[in-house]
Amino acid sequence: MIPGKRIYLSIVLLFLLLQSIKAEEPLVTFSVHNAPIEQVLLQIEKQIGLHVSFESSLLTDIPPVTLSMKQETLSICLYELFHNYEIDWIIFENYLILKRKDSTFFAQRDSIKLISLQEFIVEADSLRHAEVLTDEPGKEILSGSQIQKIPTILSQPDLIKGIQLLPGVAMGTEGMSGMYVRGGNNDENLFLIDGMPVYQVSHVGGLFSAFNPDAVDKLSFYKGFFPAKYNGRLSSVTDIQTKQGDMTKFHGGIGIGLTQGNVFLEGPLIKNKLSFHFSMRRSWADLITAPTFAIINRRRAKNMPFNARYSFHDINARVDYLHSDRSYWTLSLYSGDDLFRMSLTDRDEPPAYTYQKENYKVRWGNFAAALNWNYKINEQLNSKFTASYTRYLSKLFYNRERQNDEDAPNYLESGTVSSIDDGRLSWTLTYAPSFRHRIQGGISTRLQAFRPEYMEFIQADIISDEIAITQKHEQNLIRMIGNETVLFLSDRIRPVKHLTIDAGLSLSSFYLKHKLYVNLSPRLSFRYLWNKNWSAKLSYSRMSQPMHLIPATYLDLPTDIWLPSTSKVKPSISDQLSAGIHYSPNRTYSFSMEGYYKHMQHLADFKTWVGRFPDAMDWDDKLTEGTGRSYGAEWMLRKEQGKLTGWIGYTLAWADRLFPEINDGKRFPSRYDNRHKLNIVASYRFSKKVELNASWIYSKGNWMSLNNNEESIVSHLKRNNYQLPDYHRLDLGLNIFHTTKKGHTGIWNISIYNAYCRQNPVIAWPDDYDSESGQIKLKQLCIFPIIPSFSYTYKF
Amino acid sequence: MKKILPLAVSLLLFSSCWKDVWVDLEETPHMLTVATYQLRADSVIRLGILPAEYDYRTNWDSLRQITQVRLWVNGQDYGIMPAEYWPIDATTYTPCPYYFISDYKPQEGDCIRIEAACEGYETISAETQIPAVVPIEKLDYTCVTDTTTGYIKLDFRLTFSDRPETADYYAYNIIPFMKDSLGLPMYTGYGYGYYGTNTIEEADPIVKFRPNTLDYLFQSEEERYVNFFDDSEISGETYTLQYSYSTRFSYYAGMGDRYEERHKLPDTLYIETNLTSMSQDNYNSYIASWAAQGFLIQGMVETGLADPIEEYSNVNNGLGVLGSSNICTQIITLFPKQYHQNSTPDKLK
Repeated sequence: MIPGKRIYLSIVLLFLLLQSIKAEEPLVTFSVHNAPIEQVLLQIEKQIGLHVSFESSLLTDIPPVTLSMKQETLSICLYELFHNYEIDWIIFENYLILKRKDSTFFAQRDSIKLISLQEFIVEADSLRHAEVLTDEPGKEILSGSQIQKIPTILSQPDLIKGIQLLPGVAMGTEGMSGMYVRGGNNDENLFLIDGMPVYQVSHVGGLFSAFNPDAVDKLSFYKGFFPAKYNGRLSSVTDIQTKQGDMTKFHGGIGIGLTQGNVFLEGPLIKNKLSFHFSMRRSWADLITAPTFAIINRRRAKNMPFNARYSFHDINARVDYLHSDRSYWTLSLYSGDDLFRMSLTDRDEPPAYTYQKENYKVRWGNFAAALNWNYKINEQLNSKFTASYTRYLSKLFYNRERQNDEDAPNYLESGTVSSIDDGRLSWTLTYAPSFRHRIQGGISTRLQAFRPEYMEFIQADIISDEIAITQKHEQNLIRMIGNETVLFLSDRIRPVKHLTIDAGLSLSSFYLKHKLYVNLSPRLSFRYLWNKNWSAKLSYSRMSQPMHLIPATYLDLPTDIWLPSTSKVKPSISDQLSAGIHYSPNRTYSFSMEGYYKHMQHLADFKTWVGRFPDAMDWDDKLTEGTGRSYGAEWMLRKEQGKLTGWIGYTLAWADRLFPEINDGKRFPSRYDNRHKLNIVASYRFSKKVELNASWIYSKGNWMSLNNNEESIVSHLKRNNYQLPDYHRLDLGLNIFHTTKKGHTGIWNISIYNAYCRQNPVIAWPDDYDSESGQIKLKQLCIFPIIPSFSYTYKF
Repeated sequence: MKKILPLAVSLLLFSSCWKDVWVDLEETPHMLTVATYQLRADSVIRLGILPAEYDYRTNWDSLRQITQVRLWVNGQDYGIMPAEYWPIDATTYTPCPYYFISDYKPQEGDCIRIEAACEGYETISAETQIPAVVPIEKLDYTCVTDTTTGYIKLDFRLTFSDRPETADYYAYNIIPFMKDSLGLPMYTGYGYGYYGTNTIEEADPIVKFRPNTLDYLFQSEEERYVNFFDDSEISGETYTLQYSYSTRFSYYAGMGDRYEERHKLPDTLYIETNLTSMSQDNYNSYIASWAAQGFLIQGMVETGLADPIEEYSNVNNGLGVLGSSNICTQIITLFPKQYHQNSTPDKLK
């Protein structure tokens, strides 16, 4: 062949090749004027036959677009749209993925390489809602913005109350932050903040949850199938990711409501390298009561001051460090506390002269810290190392000085402490050799120092201003050291196009007081995707729980104690089978139906004749063991787009317990065995400035143990033999947005809790008994009437 | 606006409310209750088998005829226990006019089991073990009195030896007996015109059940002192229990404008000190009673925020407690003047 011809042919072939490559890129035609970027992407999506997906905050700063394209390639089109922004894109199978240019593939918000594409879609408030593509049955995802929309009591967005509105979750006592998931108990829920376990999840006896929504980026809630990396609780896992600080510019906000105020600030410490996010929430009622009491005390009899103060706070802090393209560090801190103090001085008039000064202090809460290191070993292999520490502390303290006219002055002090120090190291490897496999494995070891019921008592005489101890008594001084080690391995397999199998195994051991428990927990999940609209799921999970929190009352009190498993109290175990179908005809609507059966063993409860507060009896002698079962079905209809968004959820469920030493050994309903539960949550955006939110809840009543008198001791008690009336409530919330000249945002929120003032009985007690008819007269107390409230938030 | 605002606030405050409803409860199944009147070493056994829902309409004679109680001792069948009626003057103090009695007198360590059948009720059974008899080896005391105020304080030191290798449970108490020229002879600490308390103060460190921080927080600590304990810290040892008792004797006297409170110590005062060794069942029963006291649990139960405590029972298919207690007694004479000698309590003769 003539050399020139060879060159010419090569050029032609290259040209044709380029054309063919170019021809493989779809061509796009559109013309828009001042249109939102999402609208433009919709048009592109229709034409290219790919599904567009992006992380929710990626496009918020992009102004309306004016652009015309005629038969241009997708690359050119996307370049025209995004070349002024830090946005990159890739095409993977049937998806066009938009992502931040400088974030690595394993950054918190962008994990394409680590996990399957479908999960990435689900984790984004994307154009296409893809719950149908979610792999795990019983998994729900809520973003911080979704939580903020749900109207709640006293205008305080509440993460746990948002979860309570999902199917399968009973809310427990009204107004409280209890979660009873698929017939489980409140202590069977694992809460993780950036990998740190949290033990105390509420404030003010359960009225507010301990999670500040300003700090929450995303929340994954598992109630059906549990990935093998999660262990330690039976009924649910709430995995909370806090917000990463903005790497490029500063943002902040201040909010104030009727009972609390909050502030948050984020921004770069080193641009595109090191960022921080800080948020704090604090009640401010004590700031008003302190000067109020000071005024009152000036008017009281001399030397008889009275002071009381109650406050709570949450602090979330996070530092992100982008070490390199491969290495990424995160340091997270959490502190949440409730504090109640009271002091009073009392004096009788002479001649019976008695002086008494008392101080009370109750404090309970968590402190937690976690250091995470993500390292990308290669394109297919990633590693994550976590070191965390959590301290849970509940402390009750009382002291008294007293003098009467007969004895020398004396001093008395009593304290009760319950604490857990929890230190954990974990290492996880994720290996994704192809889109058909994602193998994840890891090990975690944890050392826990338990002090369930430390009690101290001191009595002393005061002689010449010196304290001479006459009696000192301590109980449970020594901490118990427990060790939990977990090995897990799982593989997400796609043997054929439409089938995904999640197979996992978790091996956990718990050692305390010379007793070792070993538990093997298989996890198995199948998902079959008929087409892009329909999928079916089936899963099985076994979970174990080596710690128990058995409440003394129906409230969350600081006297409720976490008790580890010992030779007398075995770890609880649950086996759950779930099956469901999902249908999503378009990106706006989705429908799901899921059924489950759960069997629980080695559940712990107090024996009926023992004290429920700390006392001299060893706590593991107070407990008895039984089983539980729950089963039911959940339906959910969601609308994700448009002016009106929200969901309707319905649950039909049964839950009961069987304890040989309780209720004469006969099966009885769980306290929160609410047969029917219906939730309607809606948000309507009238305009950019006005948004109306509403939620309506209906549920069958809770069960309680009713006797024919109000004595605190009875000869025979039937457990959960009376059901309170049906419960329903409407909450409304109105958000009014306004933008300042500087481009900052102010949000007025007006909320009405229980808008039609339904008098829902929360508690009841016997008031009278007719022995002739055998009827009991009950007093039913309705605590929460209609409660309007407002708050204001300013963001910059 | 000024008139509307207080009205709105009032409406808000009072919209939190309660309402009364009459409800039917599932009928409690008929159950038998065991009442242990006497079960101790070297004494006949006396038991009551009662319906849990007895009242003034209960036909005791019919019930007695259809109730059968069988006794086993250490696995050996001792046959049916016959019924005996209480002496007439004692019936006002017991709910049931008869009891079931055995010829057999249990010994320390015996395992006692009963089975009771009654038409219309499920057959019940219960089992307990006779505890060791633990004598009071030594009882010392110091006494401080104030005749002006009628005040008396006693500090006791009671020495006993615990049995090794067995789990033992104890209780202690004191009963004052007094007489005075001003009042009627009485057997208890409450005399006519006199008042005092039988409360033991400042529990010995071996008593583990005591007020906790919550009791002090709610100022209910006084009702939370107890006088029962176990031998977990003193197993096999000789131990000296220390406890105190104090009271003030007062009476009202005078006429018209001169009616006033006066203070005086009684002319005669005996203190009966008892050390009880009991079965674990009786001990658990004490714990249940103690657990139901206290401001917090009572308040929570009364407002429906907590389930009530259930009385301890070791009876299968029934209620009550089959429990054993051996009591050892010593008497201290404080003020020996005796008026009305013929009225001295029988046990002091």
